[in-house]
Amino acid sequence: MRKSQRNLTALFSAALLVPLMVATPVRATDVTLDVDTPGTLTISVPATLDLGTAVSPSTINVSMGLATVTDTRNTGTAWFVAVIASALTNFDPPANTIIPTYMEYSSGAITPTGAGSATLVETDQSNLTGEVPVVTASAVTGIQGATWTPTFTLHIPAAAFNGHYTGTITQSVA
Amino acid sequence: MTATTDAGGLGIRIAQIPASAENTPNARVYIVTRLLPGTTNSQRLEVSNSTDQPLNVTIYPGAATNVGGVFNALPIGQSNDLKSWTTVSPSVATIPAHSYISALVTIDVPTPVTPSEQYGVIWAATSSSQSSTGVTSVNRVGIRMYNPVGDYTATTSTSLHTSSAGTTSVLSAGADMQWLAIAVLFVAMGVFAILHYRQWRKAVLKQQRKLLKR
Repeated sequence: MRKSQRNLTALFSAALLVPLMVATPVRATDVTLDVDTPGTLTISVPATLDLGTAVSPSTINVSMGLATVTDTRNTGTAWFVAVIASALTNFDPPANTIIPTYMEYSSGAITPTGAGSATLVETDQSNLTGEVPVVTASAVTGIQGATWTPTFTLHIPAAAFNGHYTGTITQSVA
Repeated sequence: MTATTDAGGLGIRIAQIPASAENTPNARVYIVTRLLPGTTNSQRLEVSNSTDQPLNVTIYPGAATNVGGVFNALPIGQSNDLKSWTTVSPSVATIPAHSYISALVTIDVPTPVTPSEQYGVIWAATSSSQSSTGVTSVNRVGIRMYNPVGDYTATTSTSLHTSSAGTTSVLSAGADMQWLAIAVLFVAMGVFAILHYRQWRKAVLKQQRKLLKR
């Protein structure tokens, strides 16, 4: 009887030790910390846009330089690029504006980049009054992006006055 | 796909996910915190410059719409409630080459508010130098905002793009092992109790038999 009780005690002690031995390495991993930061959505820095000198009426076509979007978020998240232009304003008296309905944006050929994939669709726009989409990426997988060299077109109306015009053209990705 | 020839640019990403939004889909790519009346909600973003030159940037909130699941940014001059509640600090900065800054987005929600879903974008923008013709070219990169307000509940599933975003908890494997250890311990205790009971019962029966013989 006593012998069997000793055996049982030994068995119970062993049973207690097994989970403790299993649990020991667990405590070591409890202090591990791995903060997984999300990736970045990036757009290239804009090139200087020089429209030069023109007469009215006429049409100017100018390359806007290389545009690049890089998406390292790796979350399968779609993105779009939109374009908007302000009116070109001549502050020399008499003041005059050329409104964005006279402006066009054509992205041209889009080259995909990165190891991932995306369905890239370009949409030429003939009126830059609002935030109009010009490139969209859907069905996105992995780290990917795109490059293109857009062309900006300005139709100078016959009614435009002579002078020095200023304005802003904005490309946005989100 | 071709190899990336990245000359760098202006980047933006989520740098901190609020605890209240950690289980919300897309919290790693968008600002998605539920906005309760009278609360102040803060979240950090990172704005980076991966070019070889310093970049002058402006950081600001913009309004947006989401009609039928199609997200559209609104022009700078247009506003909505979310844009009017949101500020970013700093709003202007110079980021050194191959560096980044932290930007704090703060959304102050007034009270009362009408339950709704609000849309916006936190933009980081940089400009080209003005050309001789006076035209400035601006490029912006943004973090979208999809914020339910109050007890608003989406009635359709079109509000967010699907995403496979997710994080892996490094503690989950350890937790599993601990539960396994506890389970083994309970089983061992059960086996010990059963064996001990049987031995005790045998001893009692033996004792009874001895008493009966007498």
